[in-house]
Amino acid sequence: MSENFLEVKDLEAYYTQGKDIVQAVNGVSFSMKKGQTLGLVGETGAGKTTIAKAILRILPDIAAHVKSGKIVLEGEDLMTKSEDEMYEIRGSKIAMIFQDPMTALNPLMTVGDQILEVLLLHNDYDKKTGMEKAGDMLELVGIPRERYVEYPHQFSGGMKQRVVIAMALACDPELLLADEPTTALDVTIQAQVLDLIRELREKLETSMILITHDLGVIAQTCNLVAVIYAGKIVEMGTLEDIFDHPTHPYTKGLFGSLPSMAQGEKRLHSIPGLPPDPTHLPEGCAFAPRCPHATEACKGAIVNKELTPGHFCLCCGV
Amino acid sequence: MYRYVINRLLWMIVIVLLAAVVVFTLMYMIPGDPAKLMLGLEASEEVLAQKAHQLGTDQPYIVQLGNYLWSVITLNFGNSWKYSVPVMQELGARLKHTIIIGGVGMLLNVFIGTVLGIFAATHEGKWQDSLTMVIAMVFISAPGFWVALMAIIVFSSYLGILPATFILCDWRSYVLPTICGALGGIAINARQSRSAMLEVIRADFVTTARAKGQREGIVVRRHMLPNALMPIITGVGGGLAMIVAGSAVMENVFSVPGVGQYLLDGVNQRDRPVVCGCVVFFAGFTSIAILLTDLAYAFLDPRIKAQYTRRKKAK
Repeated sequence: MSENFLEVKDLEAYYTQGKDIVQAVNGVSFSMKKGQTLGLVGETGAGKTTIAKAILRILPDIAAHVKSGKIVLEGEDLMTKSEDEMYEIRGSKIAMIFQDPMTALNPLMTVGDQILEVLLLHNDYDKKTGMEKAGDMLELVGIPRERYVEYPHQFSGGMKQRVVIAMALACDPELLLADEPTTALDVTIQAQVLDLIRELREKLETSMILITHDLGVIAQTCNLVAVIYAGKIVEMGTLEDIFDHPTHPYTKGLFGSLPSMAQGEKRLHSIPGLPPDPTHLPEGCAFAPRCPHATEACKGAIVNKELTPGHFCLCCGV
Repeated sequence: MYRYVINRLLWMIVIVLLAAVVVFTLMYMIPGDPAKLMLGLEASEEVLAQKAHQLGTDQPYIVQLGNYLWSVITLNFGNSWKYSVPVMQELGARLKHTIIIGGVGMLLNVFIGTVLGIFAATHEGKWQDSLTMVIAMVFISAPGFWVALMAIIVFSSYLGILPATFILCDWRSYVLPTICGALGGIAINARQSRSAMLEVIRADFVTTARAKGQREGIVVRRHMLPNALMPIITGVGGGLAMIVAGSAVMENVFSVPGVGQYLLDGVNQRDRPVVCGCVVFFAGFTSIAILLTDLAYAFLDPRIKAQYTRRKKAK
């Protein structure tokens, strides 16, 4: 299968905040094949979630705009679809798992009914079959089906995230957008949830975009990795490319900030400085002000270089 | 849950009795001998004493209070001093008008106010939102009696389609007092439901619902509105309590023979049984309205319901 399953081209999105314009996503392009898992890594505010919401076209209407770009899923451009066509795609072809399970569920609906809702939207079940299926989905994520009638406040955080996952997977989506699915959970539950996602993904042959700032999670689950900084992909490649041959100074910095048990260091390394203000991005390379190798050339136009086939790096120093 | 309701009802009785004590004491302390007020300044001492004995006002405060509380408990508020008609009977006859004006006004408030609020919130920042909120602001700021007077000028004097004063057995008499009385509440409710909707409009679970492929209209009705309903119900519950207590203004302007008007007349004439009867009735009505509001919370929100049942288990 040479055809790309998902292709995102030159995606640009911004938020308006009073008079300021927050440039959240500045020309992001990537592609993935069916069954692959792409990890999007980057700091908070780098634009990861905006990319996912732009793919689903659920960015808030007034505050956010997708300025330009193409999102092509199996040869069809989602940006040109009508809202009615998008209703069909959301939840069935593309599903999303949200970051915070505490707030992602409607507190006034039973968890079963919330799963039922998405099932009835995209299938021709009658209510009884739908409830049966929703019960199956609960069991699939390891929740006894008797808990169908319980409300979100009766579940723990990890259990709620399982419900969110069940909801996302209910209609066998072809593309799963997982937005930091484990960030709000503690470490033991994180591992369980990740295993669960991986298991289900393999069973259902779903492609996935996993958004995280946890490199460990990426290493466990992804084939492709894209490192995002200030709304741009600064380095992209296969898992091996990025983990074994990190090239961009920012990627190197990310790996450098992982604590190493072997060397027994006392202090954590960090990348000096802060991410740039997204309302006033610097010219040229956005990372230059924090980059140890910055030169005058960094203020000019930066070209995306292909180092080895499929391994791209956006840096003028390589 | 039942236990909770019974508990609340018992407390309600206590509260109503307390209200009766307070209002009775206030009326007792108002200067002026009731007998003298009723019979005029020229009445002889003998006649006054006879009248005072008949009203029971010659007895010590504590005895009068005790008698009064007993009459409240037996739901017999005594006779009006002025007209010698049982207060209970008069209240019953007048309640119809107040309930029609207040009740229909309440329904208008709930439906129009909430719908306007949702409309404004879903068009946040656009001209529809600004327009709705400006109109709401006007009706919140404008005093109710002034709105009523303007309405009389337009609809009664100028257009001549609606009566300016109350005519018994004519439904058109209810139109102006109902609408004018409801406008302020509608405006307040519109603003309140707008801000309640804005609270949930960006909630994560709303994004979740959209990500499921749910249509925008259903997202609003099934996910946003129920979650925004708490503050709206609080406002509406307060409005429910105000139906009776707030009816005096409109009833006065349009001369409707309602409960509010009855209370005003009672105060003007120092008619103690009338005033006390009305206030005790208002207190009971308000307590019931608040209880209904709390029950509506529990009905809507499983988390609050869980609290009530847990409290029951603890006891």
